[in-house]
Amino acid sequence: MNFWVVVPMVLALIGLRFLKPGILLWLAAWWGGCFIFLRFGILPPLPSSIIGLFMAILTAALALYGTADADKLSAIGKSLRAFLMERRFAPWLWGSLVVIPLLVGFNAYRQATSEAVAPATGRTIHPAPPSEITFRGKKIDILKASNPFRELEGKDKAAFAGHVAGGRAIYYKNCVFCHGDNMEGDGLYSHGLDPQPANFADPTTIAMLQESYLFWRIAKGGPGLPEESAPWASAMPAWEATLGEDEIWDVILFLYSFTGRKPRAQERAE
Amino acid sequence: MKTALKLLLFTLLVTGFYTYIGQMVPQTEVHPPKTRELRADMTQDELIEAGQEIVGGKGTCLGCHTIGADKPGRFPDLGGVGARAGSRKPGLTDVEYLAESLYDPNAFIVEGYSPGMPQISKSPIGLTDPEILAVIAYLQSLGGEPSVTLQTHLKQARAPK
Amino acid sequence: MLALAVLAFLTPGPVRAEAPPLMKQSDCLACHQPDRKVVGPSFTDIAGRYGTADIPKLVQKVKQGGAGNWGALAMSPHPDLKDADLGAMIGWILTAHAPGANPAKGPDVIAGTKPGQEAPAYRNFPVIGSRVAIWIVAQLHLMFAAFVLAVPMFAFIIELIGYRTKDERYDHLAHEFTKLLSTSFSFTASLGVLLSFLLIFLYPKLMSYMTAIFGWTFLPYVLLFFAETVFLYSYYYGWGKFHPKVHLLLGLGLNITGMGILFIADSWLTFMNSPNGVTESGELVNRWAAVHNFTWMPINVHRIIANIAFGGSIAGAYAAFKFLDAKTDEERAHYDWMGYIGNFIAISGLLPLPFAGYWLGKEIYAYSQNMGMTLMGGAFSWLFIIQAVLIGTLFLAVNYYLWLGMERIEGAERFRKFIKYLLGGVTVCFLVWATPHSLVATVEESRKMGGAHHPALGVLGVMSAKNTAVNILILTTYVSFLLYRRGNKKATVPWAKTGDRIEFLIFASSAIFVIFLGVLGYFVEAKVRIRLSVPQVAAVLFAMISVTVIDIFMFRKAEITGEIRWGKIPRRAQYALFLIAITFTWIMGLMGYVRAGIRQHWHVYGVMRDESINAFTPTLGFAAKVVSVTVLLFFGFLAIIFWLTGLTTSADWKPRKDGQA
Repeated sequence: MNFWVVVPMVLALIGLRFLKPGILLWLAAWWGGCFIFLRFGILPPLPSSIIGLFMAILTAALALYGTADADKLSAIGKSLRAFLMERRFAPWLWGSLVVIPLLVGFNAYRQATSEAVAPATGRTIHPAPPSEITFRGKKIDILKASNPFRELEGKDKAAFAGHVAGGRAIYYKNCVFCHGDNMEGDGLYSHGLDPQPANFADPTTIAMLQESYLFWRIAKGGPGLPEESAPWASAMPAWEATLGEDEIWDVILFLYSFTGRKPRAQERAE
Repeated sequence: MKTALKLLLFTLLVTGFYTYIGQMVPQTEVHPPKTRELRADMTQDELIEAGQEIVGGKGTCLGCHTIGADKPGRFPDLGGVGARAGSRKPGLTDVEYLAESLYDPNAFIVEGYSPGMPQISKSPIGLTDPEILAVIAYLQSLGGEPSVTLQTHLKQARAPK
Repeated sequence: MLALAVLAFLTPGPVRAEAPPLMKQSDCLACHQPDRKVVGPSFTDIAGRYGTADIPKLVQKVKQGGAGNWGALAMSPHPDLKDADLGAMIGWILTAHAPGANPAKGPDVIAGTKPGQEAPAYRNFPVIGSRVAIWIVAQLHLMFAAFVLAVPMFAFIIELIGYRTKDERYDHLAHEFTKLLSTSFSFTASLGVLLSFLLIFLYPKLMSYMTAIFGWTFLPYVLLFFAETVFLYSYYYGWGKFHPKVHLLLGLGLNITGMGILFIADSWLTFMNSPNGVTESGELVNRWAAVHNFTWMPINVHRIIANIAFGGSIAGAYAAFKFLDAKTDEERAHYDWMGYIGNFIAISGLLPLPFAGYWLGKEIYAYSQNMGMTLMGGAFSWLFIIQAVLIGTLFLAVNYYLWLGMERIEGAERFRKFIKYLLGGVTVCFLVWATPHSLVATVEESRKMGGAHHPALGVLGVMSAKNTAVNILILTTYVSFLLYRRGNKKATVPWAKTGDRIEFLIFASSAIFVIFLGVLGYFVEAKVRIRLSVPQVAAVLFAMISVTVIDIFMFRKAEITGEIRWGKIPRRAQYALFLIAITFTWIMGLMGYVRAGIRQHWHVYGVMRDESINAFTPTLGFAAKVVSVTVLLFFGFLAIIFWLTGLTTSADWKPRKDGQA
């Protein structure tokens, strides 16, 4: 929740309550408050489809509230008439006559200038890996394989650092363009890609996966993704054509060392 | 008459709104599963591929089973099943165990799970004997060495019609 | 439309020369037919492409066989046929089938019309296709049948109340409901006949199979139908002419026969969803088991309850129309009251409906895990978001009508201050129920969310949250009704204050219990979670029943502080009544779609495949359009029926005189 938005908004609503506003103003304030809460108050932001659905329901509910008994309805009618007819509201009326078209115009402008966006699709976040892959003619068991250089971390610090440095070189030659300087999936090319490149800094990506899973994804890339839940539309190349087995393990070491994450341990199934 | 017109307008508005809601959700058209032709001269790799297709499609296996998921769902994970199939049930080879699990799923329940898998050899899924052989070949390939071919005879196999 | 199709079907075509005898001895006709593509192209198509100059080439072609000219399927070689014979046969094919060939003798028959020959599996309905035609007609038939079955149920109960309380108003109302029946009854029967014609014409293979299984139920069905007709008309025209007890007995007979018809018809369609009593290949083993299949009873019960709610809402819509159109205060008072009763009946059916639906869903799962998955997790999971929007609207409208109804009660103003809390409760439950699990989002938005699930909102998208929301929704609506009921009453019993407190305590504790179980659902495994919905439902039922009992005793000798001024209800309340009826009809259409849709590419699930071009399951958007068309057609027909009913303006109901036998 974004407290910088929610707290002032709630305070404003409470403050308004003390001013004993007319029912019309009160409804408008609630409507605006709900919208601001849904649009800006929740983090990460909600997709517009769900905001639309919620606002439709809330609008209906507020309309019912305003008309659910005779007193409220006549009060609304009275304030509406006053707003339209009485001199003291004239500036407000004229103001709204200017502001509402401006808002509509702004919205039209915003929609016209926004770039075309690919239609939304639902997809699984972690594709299921095969149990085994053939890497350049060699069978590699994805369920069991572990990083051959990982054990150096405790034994031979210098050799380990060498492998990480090798991985660094590979990363900055090949991966950085999409996955970005900080591995946040925001490299130069990322803006043209859908789905966006994986964000390794996110605790729910590589930190939740085994190194062998990363090996599969790097070696086989987008073309190697499983049939089910297709289309994946991933632009990840199959790096087995360019990188050797040791190079891929090296770059995996670098991914973890740079982000400071630990790979998920190999657990024996049963 | 005026009332009738007003109510007509109201009805049109409401049904129009509901139709609009119907267009707002994801639109998918579900087509009947395609059957892949299983030929006797298929290579082992083609048979495994066919089996994988059946597992994901006509067999509807992935509705309940996962393959190599982080945590198992309602039914056992099939990742690496080829490696452990031979030692699951004493006295059964991996092929015999897998065949039993497919033809008679409730004969042996993996510890920690409840029975509930339907007999996929029967309707509505209705896999044929060759299709089940293809599925077994695919399951064996998950962590094991595939040995079945379309010529393999299973004792559960039904007489050809 | 049907008449035209039949006409086209029966129109004789041109006549053509008879085939040479060799043609019949060889195997040509196994793959080729005169006008129809079977395995190979039809003779007409061949004659359309080649002329007699091509005969030598074609002779070689037939001898060698092969594929590629007409499709991938290869023609088998025929090396043993003589060139001369082949030439004669091909010559006949080309000349006798050439476009504009002058027919010599014998009428050209239309494929599939030879007596004794097997019928084609499918025929096509023009423009909209067979499936949509059947879909719309079946759904319309169902809606009218639901109305025709429901009205006698509450007409009978209302008449009984009138008889027991000696209040003439009830008798009048029961008569008015029944008045709507007779025209609707004819509509239902006509639609039923149209539906069976269409089914037999468009889906001959399926229908002959269904007839083989259920042929024996047709006779009782027809007999019941006759009996129902007799009961209906004697019940309606005999109003005030028989002794009340005899008349009530007629009403009972009407209900029993109607129910019997429903049960028989349900057996046919539930068999298609969950076949029973047949072997794997579909041969009949046990007739009774085919009727008494897995989903038969759940559907029967679900439909009876839903019919009551639906019938009540339609009667409410009728009253709403009459109220809005009324000229005098007296008429307004009468139709306000009728609308209120219709709405009351609708709510009484609506509240237990989710529980019956839950039972049906459970039976579907028990019958076939696959079907259950298709229903809840697969292609249809989004359908339940649409359903949530509809039912949420329904609950909002029902509550709104109750609140506005307080306007007609003197002294109910004191409850107005509670409306906002009730509204808040209904709205929050509605929002929770309508929240999908995986959200529709653009790339940019899912980038920000980090996937298709929102970290905060995703929590509301699962079963636990929805069950909780529905239960609270039902509880809130019940509170609205309770406040309405108390509108002009003041309890005089000495324990009134304590009674209020106990009722409040029951409501609060059951709401807290329901929410607690809902939250608990997130922390236990799936097996336990599914079972949590039972105590939730039990808590809500317990609260409603115990509070009703307390309330009845508390207000038995209550002081009446104001009168109920029937007719003094805002006009917008009548639109709410109308909205309830439209929404209900739409939900029925949607649920009809999902009930038939979960069979997917099967006519009879697991037994008989749908091999037509319509075997696929259409998108929800398309289904929504068909449902809307059906709903509009239904209301159109309904308007005609109400108009016809209105034509008999003569006072056909008179207060019954005492001692009339």
